[in-house]
Amino acid sequence: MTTSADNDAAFIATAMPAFISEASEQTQAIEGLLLELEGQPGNRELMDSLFRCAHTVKGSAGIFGLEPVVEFTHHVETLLDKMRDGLIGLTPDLNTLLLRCNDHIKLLVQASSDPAADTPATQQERVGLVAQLRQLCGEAVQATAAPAEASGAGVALHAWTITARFGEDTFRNGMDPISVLRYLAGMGTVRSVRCLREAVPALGALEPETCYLGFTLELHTREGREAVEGAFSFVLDDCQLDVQGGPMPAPDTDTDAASPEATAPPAHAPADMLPYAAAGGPEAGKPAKLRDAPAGAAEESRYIRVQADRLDAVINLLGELVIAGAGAMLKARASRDTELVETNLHMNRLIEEIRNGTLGLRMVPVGETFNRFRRVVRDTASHLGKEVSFEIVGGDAELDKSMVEKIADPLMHLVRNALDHGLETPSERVAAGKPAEGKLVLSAHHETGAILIRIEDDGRGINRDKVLQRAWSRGLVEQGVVPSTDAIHMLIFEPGFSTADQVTNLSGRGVGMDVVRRNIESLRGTIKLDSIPGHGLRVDIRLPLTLAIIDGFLVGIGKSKFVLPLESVVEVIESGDSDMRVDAFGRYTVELRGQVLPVVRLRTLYALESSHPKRVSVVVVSSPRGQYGIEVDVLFGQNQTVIKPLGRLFKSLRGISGSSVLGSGEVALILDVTSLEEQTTQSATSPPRAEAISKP
Amino acid sequence: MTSCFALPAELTIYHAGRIGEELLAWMDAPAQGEAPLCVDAAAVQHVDGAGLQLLLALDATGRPWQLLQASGPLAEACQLMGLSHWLSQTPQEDRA
Repeated sequence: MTTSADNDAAFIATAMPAFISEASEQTQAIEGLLLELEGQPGNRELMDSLFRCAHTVKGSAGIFGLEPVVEFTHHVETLLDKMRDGLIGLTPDLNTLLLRCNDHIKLLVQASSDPAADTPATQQERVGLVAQLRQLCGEAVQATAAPAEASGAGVALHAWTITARFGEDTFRNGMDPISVLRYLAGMGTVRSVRCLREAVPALGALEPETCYLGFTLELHTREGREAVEGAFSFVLDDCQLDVQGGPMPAPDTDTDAASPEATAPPAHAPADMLPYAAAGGPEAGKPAKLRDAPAGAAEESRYIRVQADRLDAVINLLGELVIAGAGAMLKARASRDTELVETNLHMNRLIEEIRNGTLGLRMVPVGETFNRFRRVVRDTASHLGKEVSFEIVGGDAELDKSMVEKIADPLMHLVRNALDHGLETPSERVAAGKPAEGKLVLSAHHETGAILIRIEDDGRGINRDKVLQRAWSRGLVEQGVVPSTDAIHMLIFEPGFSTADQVTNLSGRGVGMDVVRRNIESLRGTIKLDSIPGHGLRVDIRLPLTLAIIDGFLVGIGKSKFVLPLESVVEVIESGDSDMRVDAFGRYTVELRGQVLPVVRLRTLYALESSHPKRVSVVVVSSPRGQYGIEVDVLFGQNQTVIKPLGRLFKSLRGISGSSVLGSGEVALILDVTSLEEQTTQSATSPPRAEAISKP
Repeated sequence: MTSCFALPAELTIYHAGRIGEELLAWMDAPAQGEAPLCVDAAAVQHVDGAGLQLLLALDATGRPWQLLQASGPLAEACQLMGLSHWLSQTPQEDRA
């Protein structure tokens, strides 16, 4: 018997993280839905999803015996149910309360693994929240009678006779008929309950862990058959269930709704569940409600939870397979056996498809992350006294999961920034001839091989002159030098560029704009600002869809091979030794259409052993600070590159972002165009940065 | 008056086996005679279906018995399960 207890404890211990992650997803969803509902209060579908989320949290918390979560969520659920039935309208105040409740659910979930999180202060808060919730529900109960009478047959009470005999293993599976009964009692009024105990043997013959129980229950509730059967969803596999009955004649309804005491249940139901019993819904709401239980079940079958590292292992193996496939292809070509080549071609095509499919498994919609910002925007805007309409476009665009996680913080910072610095206060806006309500749009859509995330506001934009002044005074740009407008905008991402006189408690959160840029660049993304002074700012963030694979451009220097990200390659020019010049800073340069182009000599930089050929090629690449050239011996052309992270030993190697194994088994290093440029500008005698930017 | 069997705080599946054995040994003890058995439930904090089933099994032996001082959780479970007649403190002759 102790083993069964141990098993249970072990089960809970292993399943708990999954519960916590699921619960936090659900609370996240609740938050998103609440904020979405604020914009469209009457949306039935959102309301249903909201209820379902709360219900799911309650249900799974129940499995783990997390009483505080169940109890608190129950109150929230009760209120949501009334809102769903249209008994309570959604007001901004109510939404704020629900958001606070949702925060509290999060806290309670967290407290389930860390009891210290539930401090006396939060307990106090909980009492307050519950009181408010119950008050709201109580008011709704009193209000019920009127609409019920007015609409006559609108509210239908069902009388169900439920007979259930539980399977032998019910207890061993961790289920309990009493929990089911308690849940059913919460759904309505229990008119009578009879224990089916014929199967229970006398004590001497009893197997204590075998379930012999059953019951017959008469329940009056507004819930439909599916909801009633849903109470048994966890035990259905080994339970004989029979539900009979249906809607009751209307007259009963009124008396029931008006005076729950009059029909006090013969079996005791917890007092706080009585208002719930009186909660009613218009018949029209029923079809939507019926979806509750099946939706939960359907979702389970539509999704499989897979641990991320397992998926990564498969993707890694696929990377190897791609390389092996390329190797086989090379050999096949060398053998000049046409059939072998064809078979290999076919196989490689399949490998590519599998790889793309598998990489697709890691893709998640960015919308989940975006929805998180609704709350931030709401709270920040109200804190700043600004009116903002926040719009999310293209939330279903997909991005690699690890990218989504890493992009959240920089995005959050940019969104805050737009609210804090970009959008003006209502009075300022009206004075500027704009509508009082500011607009903030967060959008995502796919471009070839990349995703474009755009944050657009209609605020004051970037004050170009102010930025330039500051850059001059901070020495970021030499006094009097005026870089291109784009370059000026990019200055706000410079580490030294502090917006000290604008820092508020909102923006000064430790993540500077330079960190934003660094984070995005570490994901091999780019950031671009487009500002129309007085009319707004657009921030474009382009990110590759996945971190695992890039379109590369393979080049060779001596015996070494390097891969350049194809998107950074602008053009390739031929150059002889005589074309190469050394400028005042000791950098190599070539002349390209009348412009001086700095050139990086990898041969010198990495001390590669090779003789210098007569003619070399210069690959012109674009980096965030402008274009520069990389001198190479041989061009091999485009190839799909599976990125392998560098070992720890090579982490310090600047200018290299990773490695890749070629079909021939050779290793090619992947050049990081951005850091390579920094490397070279630093190696020169620190020229002013603005000069590195090519002028149009 | 014979002594009462005191149910533990945890009347649940985790202890059902042990409680069942103890209950059986206690009721078969010669000291009990044929007098109505008495089960003291004041200490019960947690009760589940398996725990309640023990009492049903006790009832199924046909020996008259009576439940004393049922605690809140046990009373709730009895009511939910339709066994609230146990809560009136009279010996149980009728077996509904």
